[in-house]
Amino acid sequence: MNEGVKSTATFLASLVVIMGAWEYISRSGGVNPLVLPAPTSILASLWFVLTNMFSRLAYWQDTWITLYEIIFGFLLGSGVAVVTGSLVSEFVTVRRIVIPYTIALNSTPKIAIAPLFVIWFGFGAMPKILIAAVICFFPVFVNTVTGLGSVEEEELELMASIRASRWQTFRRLKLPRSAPFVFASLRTAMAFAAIGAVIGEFAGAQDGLGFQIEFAAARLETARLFAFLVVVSVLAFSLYSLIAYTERKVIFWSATTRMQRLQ
Amino acid sequence: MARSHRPKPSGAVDRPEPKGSIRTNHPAVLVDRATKIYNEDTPQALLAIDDITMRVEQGEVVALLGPSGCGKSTLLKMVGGLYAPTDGSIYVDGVPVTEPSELTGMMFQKPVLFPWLKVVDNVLLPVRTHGAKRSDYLDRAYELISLAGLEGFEERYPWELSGGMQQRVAICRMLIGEPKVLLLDEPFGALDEMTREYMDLELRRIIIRQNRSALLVTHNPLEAAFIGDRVVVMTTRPGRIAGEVRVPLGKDRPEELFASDELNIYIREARRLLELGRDNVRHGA
Repeated sequence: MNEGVKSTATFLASLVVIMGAWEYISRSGGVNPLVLPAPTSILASLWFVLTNMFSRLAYWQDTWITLYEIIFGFLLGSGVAVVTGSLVSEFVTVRRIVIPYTIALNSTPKIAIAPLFVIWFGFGAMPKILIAAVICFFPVFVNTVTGLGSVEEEELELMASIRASRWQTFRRLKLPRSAPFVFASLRTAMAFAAIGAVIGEFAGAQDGLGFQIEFAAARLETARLFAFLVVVSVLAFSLYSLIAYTERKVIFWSATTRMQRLQ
Repeated sequence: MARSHRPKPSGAVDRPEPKGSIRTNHPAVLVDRATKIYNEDTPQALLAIDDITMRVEQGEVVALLGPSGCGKSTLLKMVGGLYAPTDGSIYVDGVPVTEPSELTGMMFQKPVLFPWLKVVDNVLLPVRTHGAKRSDYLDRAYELISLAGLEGFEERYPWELSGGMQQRVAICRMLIGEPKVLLLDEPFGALDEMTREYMDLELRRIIIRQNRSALLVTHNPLEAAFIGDRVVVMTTRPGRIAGEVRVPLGKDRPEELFASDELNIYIREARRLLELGRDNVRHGA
């Protein structure tokens, strides 16, 4: 048996044991199923949600809305972060102006901004996208600045010796140098965007997976709540995998990526 | 830049020569009473280069030999236009140096290759940076890579190459823009002894074949004597010229020369000058 098969088998075995124990605890009556529904009833509920989604298109709207909010929130937040980070790392004046604001922004619990955004932008997708974007911003911003600053003295001397302009030095040296840092933060940002979208929906929405989770909770349909939790997690995981895949393609040259390829 | 108002030496002109003049009467490099003080006007002021005058003739290879910290790299980088001298002037091919110029090509102790670019694209970097089309220089890049003995590695990435091979790529990148003067800052200092000797051999062959002038900085007397038509020896802090050794061993230098008695004569002479310079500043080992 090779290493991969062995580790998968070990994981599956642990999963069976945990799920079995969970099932037993729920069925034995030790815990109220309203608090902790058995894995089988969660699966049944998930089946119900998914069949409805694909046969009658119910919940499809919710999934689509949330996906849309996550993606646009992610793109907006990380896009603004990369541009701001670049300006901050290139221009001292911009740095002096921007840094205090970003520190202030980072110190504010972003979840607390959600109700404010709902007041400002209503119950549509916009406030959710903005909350997702705000949460995404900081890690990408910090890593962009760190990454752009990670160029070595010799590399700058080389660019100077071939008479590269400031823009050329940025585009041909600093930007690619920063890519591994930026991608590391994009993975975090994608997870953050999912949190932001769901939080935004909690704060006030008429549809979306976050709305469905809250709705199920209000009606004590715990199995249904778990089912939506699974859907939102699968969504977030798929988006994360997409980023990880893009990362491997774009920064194939970084030491970390090469190491992973060898394994 | 230079604050001196001394009359210009005979080798210097005010205006750049028109492009296309292959040979001029000017020396390839003229360092005219150059001084470099770091952190000038502060308590940490450090005199790195003290009133150095030296030249590299057209087609000549000069090795600048000195112990670490003697300012030889500083001097080279001033010739390359990366640093400005505090006082004095520097001319390359008769043109005053104020910033990096297309007349010079530089090579550093580290290969400084970009891992996201293939070998051929690393070689093309200097011309691509100035907006040249990749296809216009591709043939020349392939030619240089083959000259450097890297045929077949054009489409590989730098991290697939050994340290010596990476420095060969750096040689090609230095040559792609056809600079007249090559400035080499301990290019093989990080390589093992055997690889370094082989690279010295190759470098000398390439410089002679390409008909360039070169200034090479090193702390290794063997390397200096093998590569240089002339070895200029520097003293430690502040950097001054201790003396120079002519190495009249011809243009083409075979591998056998490394272990030969005739080369040894010049190595010994260079060592003597090094020790002389060291005794003058009386620093402990």
